[in-house]
Formats: sequence, C-alpha cells, structure tokens
Amino acid sequence: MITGIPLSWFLILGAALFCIGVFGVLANRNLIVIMMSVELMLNAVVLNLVAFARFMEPARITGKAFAIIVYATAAAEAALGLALTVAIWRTENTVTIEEIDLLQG
Amino acid sequence: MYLGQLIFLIVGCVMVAAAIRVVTSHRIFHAALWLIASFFCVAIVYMLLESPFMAGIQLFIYIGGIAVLTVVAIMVTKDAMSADSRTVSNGWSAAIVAISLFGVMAWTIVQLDLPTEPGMPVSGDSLPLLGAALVDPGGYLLPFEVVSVLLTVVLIGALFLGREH
Amino acid sequence: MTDAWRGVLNVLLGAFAMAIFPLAAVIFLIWEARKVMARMQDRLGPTNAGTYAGPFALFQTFADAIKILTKELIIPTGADRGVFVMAPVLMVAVAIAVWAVIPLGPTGLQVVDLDIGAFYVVAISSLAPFSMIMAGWSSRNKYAEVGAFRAVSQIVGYEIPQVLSLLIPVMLSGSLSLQSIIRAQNVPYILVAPVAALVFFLASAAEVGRLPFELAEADSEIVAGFFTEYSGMMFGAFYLGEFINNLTASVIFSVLFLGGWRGPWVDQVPLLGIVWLMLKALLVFNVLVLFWAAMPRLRIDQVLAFNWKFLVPLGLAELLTVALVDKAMVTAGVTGGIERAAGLLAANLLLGLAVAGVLSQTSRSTRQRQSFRRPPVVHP
Repeated sequence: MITGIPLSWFLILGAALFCIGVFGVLANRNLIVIMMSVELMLNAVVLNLVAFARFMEPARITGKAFAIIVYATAAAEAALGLALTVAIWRTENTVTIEEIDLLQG
Repeated sequence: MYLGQLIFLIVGCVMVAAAIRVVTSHRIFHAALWLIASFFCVAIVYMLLESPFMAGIQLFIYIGGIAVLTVVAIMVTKDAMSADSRTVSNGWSAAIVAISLFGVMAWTIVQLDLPTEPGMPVSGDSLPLLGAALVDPGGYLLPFEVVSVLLTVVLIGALFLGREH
Repeated sequence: MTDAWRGVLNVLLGAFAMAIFPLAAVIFLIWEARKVMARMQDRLGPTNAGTYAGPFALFQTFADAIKILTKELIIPTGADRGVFVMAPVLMVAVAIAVWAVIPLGPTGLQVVDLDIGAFYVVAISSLAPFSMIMAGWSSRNKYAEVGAFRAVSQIVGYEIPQVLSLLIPVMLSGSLSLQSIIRAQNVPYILVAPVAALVFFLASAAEVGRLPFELAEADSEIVAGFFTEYSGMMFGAFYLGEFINNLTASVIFSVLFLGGWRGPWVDQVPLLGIVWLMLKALLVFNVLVLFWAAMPRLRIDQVLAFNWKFLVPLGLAELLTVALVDKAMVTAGVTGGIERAAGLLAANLLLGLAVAGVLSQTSRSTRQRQSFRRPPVVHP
C-alpha cells in the first residue's frame, strides 16, 4: 500500500525541517525556543537516518540503531538543558540569552 | 498518484507548517504545542517508512518525554515569558541563511541518483534483529552502554541542578 | 490501486466500529460503577430517572448525557480559546486511539495487529498528560494549573513502573504484539508473575487517576483540578475520557495478565472472545471502583514517594528476578510450560515475602522514631 514515495522526498522533507530549526536557533533569543529548534533539527536528522535505513540497507538495522542512540542523546540534552534553563531562571529571572551576562562582570 | 504519496504530501505540508509556527509564533506555549504537532507528523512519516517501532519511540520519547519537559519548563518560568515576550531579532538575515541552506541541500539531493523503491528486506521482522544488534559485542553494544552511562550522568546532573537551595 | 483504497476503507470502518465500542461500553459502565459504589456506601444508587429510565435505572446515563448536552458551554474570559476547546477533544481521542491494537477475539476482531502493540499502548498513553496540561494552562486559573502540574508529575512518574512491569509479559512471551502475548498465555501471567501484575495494576490505577491517586482533581483541595473551568459537554468529554481510560486500563490488564479473550469454547465460536475479555475487564474495573469507594485520598508527596521509593525499585527487582530465574531454568533444561510457570511463581512469591518483610521492618522503625519524637503530653 505504501510504495511509490522516492527517497529524495524524505530527504527534502528532512532538509526543510532542519533549515526551519536553523532559522529558529539564529533568529530567537529565548532559551527555550532555541532548545525547541534544536529538537527540530535532531528530528530531521533521525528522519534521514530512518529513511536511509529503509531504502539503502537490506537489513534495516544500522540506521535504526543510530536513530535510537540519537534519541537517547536528545532526551539527555533536553533534560539537562531544561534543568539549566530553570536554574538560570531562578537566579537571573530571565530566559533571554542576551540578558544572561553573569560572566561579563 | 499513489495513496502513499498523497498521505506523504499532506503530512509533510502539515509538518512544515507546524515547524514554521514553532519558530515564529508569538506565544511560547503555542510554539510548544506546534512542536508537538510536528513531532506527531514525523511519527506518521515513520509509519510511511514501515518503521512502526520508530514511530512508537518518537511518540514515547519526543512527545511523552521531551515535549512534556519543555511545556513544564515553560509553565515554571511563566513570569519570565508573559504573553508576548517572544523577541525575534535579525529575522531577515536568519531567514536568508536558512533558505539558502535549504536551497543548497535540496539542489544536492535532486542531483544525486537516489533509489525510488526500497531495497528488499532481508527478513520479514527486523525488530528482533535490531534488539539483538544493540546488545551484540560485535554490533552496537559499546555505544549502547556509553549512552546508558550518559543518561545516568544526566539524571544525577539534573537532580543536582533542580534541588532546592 | 482500487485494492489499496478498499484496504483503507476497511481499516476506516474497523476503526469506526472500534471507536464506538468503548463509548457504548462506558455508558453501561458509568451506571454500573454508580450502583456498585452506592452499595459500598450503603445507598441504593440511581433507582429511577423520570419515567423512561428502565429497570434499575439502566438508562440513567442516557438521561444524564441528554441533560449535559443541553447545558451552556462557558469559555472563561481570558482563556486561550483554541487550546481550551482542543483539550477535551484530545483527551477523548487519546483514550479511544489505544483501542486500535486491543484484540477482542482470536482473529479479525482487531483493527490492526501491530507487531509493537504493547509499545503502541504505552506510547499513545504518554500523550494523555497533554490534554491535562492544555486544559490547565488555557483556563488561566490557579487551581487548574496546580491540577495540571500534579497530573503531569504523577502520570510521568508512574509510567516508569508501568513500563517495567509491562516488560514481563513481553519477555515471557517473546513478543510485543498483544495477540501473541495472549496466545502465549497457556497459564495466565498473573499466576506466573503476580508481583508484576500488582505493580502494573497500581501503576495503571495511578495513571488513570483513580482514588487513592486522585490528586489531579482532588475536589476538597483544588476544586476540580485541570478541568475546573469546563462546563457542559466539554466537562462531559473529560468525564467520558476518564471512564474510557479506566475501562482501557482494565482491558489492558486482562490482556497482559489474565489471558485476554482466552476461555472455554472460543475455538468454536470466536465471538465468545469478546464476552470473556469483557468479563475479565469488568472484574478488574470493579476492583478499581471498590478502591474508589473505599480509599482515602493520599497527599501529593505521599503519592510521588510511593512511586519512586516503592513501585520503581519493586518493578526493577521483579524484572531482574524474572529474567534471571527464567534464564537459569532454560539453561538447566526446564522447558515445559507448567514447570517454568511454577518456578517463576515460586521466585515471585519469595520476592513478595521479602518485600513484605522489608516493608514491615521499615514501617515499624518509622513508627518508633515518630513516637520517640512526639512531645510528651502534659496534663495540667
């Protein structure tokens, strides 16, 4: 039932998602939005990995194993990043990256 | 036009629209909800790629874990981001960078000679193979264990950061 | 191509029928729960609602539904309208989506037999906190927000022991597909791994927010929790979603630990599978209702401590015990189904005894410490 979608479509979709994430990181100054954009970029990467696993690899394992490890790393990144955000909010009462200038003296 | 292509196009459009709303929406809570929508669309694309296990992981880790954490962080830091605290600086230059990057990527992908049909799978059921590969010393045992150490470290670190002073 | 479209039509029809099923069952279950609770509290419960309520007020729920449909929908000023309206929709959608993989009978009586069925159930259920967060945040109400925070910390925490204990049927049957798990249960897994069944039951009760874990909507503390501001059918949708979640938890428990649709004469008449599954689920559901009627409400810190300090370690210990004992028996050459089940049951009972011993020890020492700390009563 689900045939007829070429690999390039998935790759272009991944590229679009990745570039939206790049825009979000570059254009936003809110720490949490930047983290959400990074999650979008990671998701685009995993999308490519799973697509390659299906099209290029007969056993369909390597890409998924990579994807699972990327997922674990992404979860770790989100947990630690958001814990840091909340910690910064407690001390600085802001989450805008330009106002976090603790080290500027 | 095949049915799969139709589903792919609809889901892809929704995903991209939701992702754009994540990075541009004015209210940060709405941005988080759009983020969940785009994660959900990625899960549907995994179903189109015949990987229901990856779709399940996407729902479980990204929506059930990461998105919940994000939303709770937003609700905890609510005072710092009241209604319209979203500030987009240098939006145009960022848009130019992102669009040109996308142009280069899309052009490269179109130039490549990529397969249009999936390769035949070795066996019908790849899930047990995947599980065995993750704990096989000749396979991915080392990264698997390294990731588990990483998760433990993160658990301790997050507890340390989050404790009451 | 026409075949593809016909396949899609088949799946859609199946999904429609499967979505109707829990909704119809809940109409009966609400009446049943009210009757059982009334008996627990020495009341009669609903007896007659108007003229057409039927015998034993069987149609009470229909009357309630009609009443609630005619009520005004109030959206508070300052609420985030879109999110506010989406929250109850998401609640019911998630509650129904789980039913896609539940096997009601041996063959055919299932929308789709995913080979990751058990994982799908967990993954879809992990979307449930979002409807509560959306409701709590969009209401702009402190009680709603506190309720949402409680719901999230409770549900996310109790997911861990739930998944840990769900791994045991998966491990014993060697498959994530619910249909294969049922077919592997020549001995129901509640007799093979009773500790896992207990952990799963308690975690499910907490996931669906049934007393004593009903902190997210504790009416004596935070009005009604995350759905404080909802009225009319939007409140009805939360109520419905909650009852469907209760039924789903009972059905999943029956599938994983009580043998699902298995029972006498199912091989001859596959439709009997539905009857057996629903009877088992009704049994579990009624235990939940008895909890509801008999238990006091815990405090939020007690609920979280119970999870992190008791259920999670117990789930981990159970997982290790079952894995090691099973592996040891297989290497020792014990391969018969009954012998393996008996060995695992013995290991589980030993684990249960050890846990009971540790619990009584710690509770005694806590009591002693507390009585030691208590200031002496001074009589004038």
